[in-house]
Amino acid sequence: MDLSELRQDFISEVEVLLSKLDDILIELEKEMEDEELVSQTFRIMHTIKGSSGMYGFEKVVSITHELESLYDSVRNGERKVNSRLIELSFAVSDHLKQLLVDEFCTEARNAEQHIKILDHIEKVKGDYQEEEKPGELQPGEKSVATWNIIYYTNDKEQLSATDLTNTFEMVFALGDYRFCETPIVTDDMQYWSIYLSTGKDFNDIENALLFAPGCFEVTKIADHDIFKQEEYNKAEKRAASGAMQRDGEEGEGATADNAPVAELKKEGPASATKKQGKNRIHVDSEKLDTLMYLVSELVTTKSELKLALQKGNETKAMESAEKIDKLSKMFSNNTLSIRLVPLLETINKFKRLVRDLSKELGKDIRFETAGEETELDKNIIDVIGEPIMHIIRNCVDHGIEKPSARGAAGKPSTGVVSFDAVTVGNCVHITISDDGNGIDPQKVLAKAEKRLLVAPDATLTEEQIIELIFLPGFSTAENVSNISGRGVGMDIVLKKIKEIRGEISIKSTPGRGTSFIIKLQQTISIINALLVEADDITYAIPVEDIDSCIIELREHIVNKQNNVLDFNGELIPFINLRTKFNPGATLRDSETDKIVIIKKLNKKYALVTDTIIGEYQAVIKPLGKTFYDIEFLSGASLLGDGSIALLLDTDKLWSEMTA
Amino acid sequence: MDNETYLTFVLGQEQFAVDVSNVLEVHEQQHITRVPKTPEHIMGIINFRGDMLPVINTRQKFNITGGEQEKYYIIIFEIGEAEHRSTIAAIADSVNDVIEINRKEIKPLPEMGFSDNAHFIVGSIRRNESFVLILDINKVFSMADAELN
Repeated sequence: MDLSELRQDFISEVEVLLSKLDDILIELEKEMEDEELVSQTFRIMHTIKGSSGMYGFEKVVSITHELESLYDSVRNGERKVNSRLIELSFAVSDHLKQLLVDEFCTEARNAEQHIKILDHIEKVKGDYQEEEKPGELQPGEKSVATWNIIYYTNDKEQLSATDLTNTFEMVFALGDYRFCETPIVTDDMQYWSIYLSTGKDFNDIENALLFAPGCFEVTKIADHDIFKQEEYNKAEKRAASGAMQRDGEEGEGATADNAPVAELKKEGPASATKKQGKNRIHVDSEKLDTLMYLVSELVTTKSELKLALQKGNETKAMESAEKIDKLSKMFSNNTLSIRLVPLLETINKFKRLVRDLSKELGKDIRFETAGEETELDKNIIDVIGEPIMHIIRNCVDHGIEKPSARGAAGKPSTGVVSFDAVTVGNCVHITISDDGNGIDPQKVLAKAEKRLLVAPDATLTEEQIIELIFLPGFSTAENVSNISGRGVGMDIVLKKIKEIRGEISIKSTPGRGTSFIIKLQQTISIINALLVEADDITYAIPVEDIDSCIIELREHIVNKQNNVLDFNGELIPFINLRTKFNPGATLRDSETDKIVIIKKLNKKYALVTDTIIGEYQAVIKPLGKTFYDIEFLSGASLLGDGSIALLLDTDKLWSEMTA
Repeated sequence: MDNETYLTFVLGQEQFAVDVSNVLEVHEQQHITRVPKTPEHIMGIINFRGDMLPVINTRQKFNITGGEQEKYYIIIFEIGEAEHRSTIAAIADSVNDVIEINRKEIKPLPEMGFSDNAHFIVGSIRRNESFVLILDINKVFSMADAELN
């Protein structure tokens, strides 16, 4: 494995640890005396510090080092867990996530945040020694200065990067720094140059360097934080892109010198590490054992088949072929199950979200979860995370009332937002509910009318009214907060859910609460489909959308005004797949047509085809960006003979009809 | 030695050559699945190593008329760099030899006589009594080609 792969592994592992950490911190906040939770936090900090040191994430090392010591002192009884420590820990967890991507704080806001965190750490450290003095706690402007530390040695000994990092760990912990790892070499010496911006004074820096071998010189070069300067950041960025010029820029002064260096450490600053652990999943080793077993069975059966064919033993060959058929079904089941990921990790993110949001809004909310072990295809989880996040935000922001309002309504002051996931057959049903003030249909209707999303005299059922919130450009909140956004939310939620062929519905009682029910398929890659053919194109229709198939006399269909046909006494609209997409096509020579009746979400319509081929278990592949605009096609499937069937989206096809 | 290897193919009356480093595969006479409601420059899709790939109508791109065939050769190209790398399939009437071309052989195009699409033609060479147009495949197909509009 090369270094970048190892690094990626490391980053993924840390992400998992940080997610665990959030969970632990949420518990710790409620149970500040719990020793086990404190130990767990300490261990996580310790582990992250150790492994980041190996990969050179210096800033991560310095911060986790501080947190580790803080929690160590809690373990020793020198300190107690309080809300400030918890707040700091959450802030650190978030910042570490940023550092994994932006290791050197090249983004201004990360650099700023880093300094704030270091500041915050100092305050919490000082917390226990002094009583909280009013005024000192203001996150005011500390007088930060920038120093240049020259460290030199005339041993020709080459010190490695890690040696240097260890040596300077204490210095780096003092503030923000830029450090060039390759020394500037002159005839008789080599020296390293560090630029440090810190609120500490000369003595503190000296103390930090006490144990460093070699000599050093400390000079103040500015009475402010150079790294925060606009020009410095610009110079850094310029240097990063023009990294080749580095050789000519040495000795040019504080800003240009170290700037390019930090960027030279890796090829492209942010882009290389931006590929996050999204492409990784954890797999149960049991599933992999089954896979290995299946592979060995396949190899054996294949040899049997070959042998049988060579010997001309048709019976034996058929047997082997059947075995292979069975094996392929087992393979597909096994591979699909490997892609299944439990919702647990996603849910943990929601816990953090609810906690942060309710604090921010001054509401008291309890988040109840059930069904964490429910599994979904990774593809689906990747897509569904954001929409659910948005729904939960809505519940916390608009759904649950402030404690005073709840009290007035006779409700307990703690609001409840719940998340429940359950497997029903091949589907997973996710329900998110709150016991807040519900959705008022009158308000929704009024808003929709004002936004011209619905005609003023339209008659709609309560259900239809509530579903208006899925229309783009809608928002029922009186003040659109920046938490839930300007009504771009629910329609995107709907869109994403449809993307993975799921459904969403809302139930609400004004004053009592709201429930969002999302129905998802466990996997989207394999579906049972009916193959039909029209105009030499093979289409696949999901079996679950089909009501029935009939053969109808052509004369009943052709020359019908309004494209409706009579089905068991019911007039339903139809699309002729042949002529719809190829207006010039002539109808096949036949007295009858094969018709597939589609029933999807209470809409019934018919598809007129040339031939109904049969049922087929289709492996669905995406069509690709090129075909995104063709909404009624949701994918394609490779058939046994190498040809391709186009998967029809029965929902969108309906809109095609009415278009 | 400034020799580079090119794949030659035919469209209509013209012979073209592309650098082999951009060519992933050549498929003979493959059936292209039509997709309804796609514009003319997309002929349909094919299955390539498990993924669905749109097939670009190169005849239309080069304004080649006449001589339509039942089945075409499909050349799979890889265009772009790093993250913007993408795979594109395009048709050819037929595919000929892989040849070596010395850079010095390549003559630039005359100023006139070509439509404004000619920016993707690097130059031309003479082989066996006929002209072969050298294409910069990255200029022929851009990411935009992969988009429907």
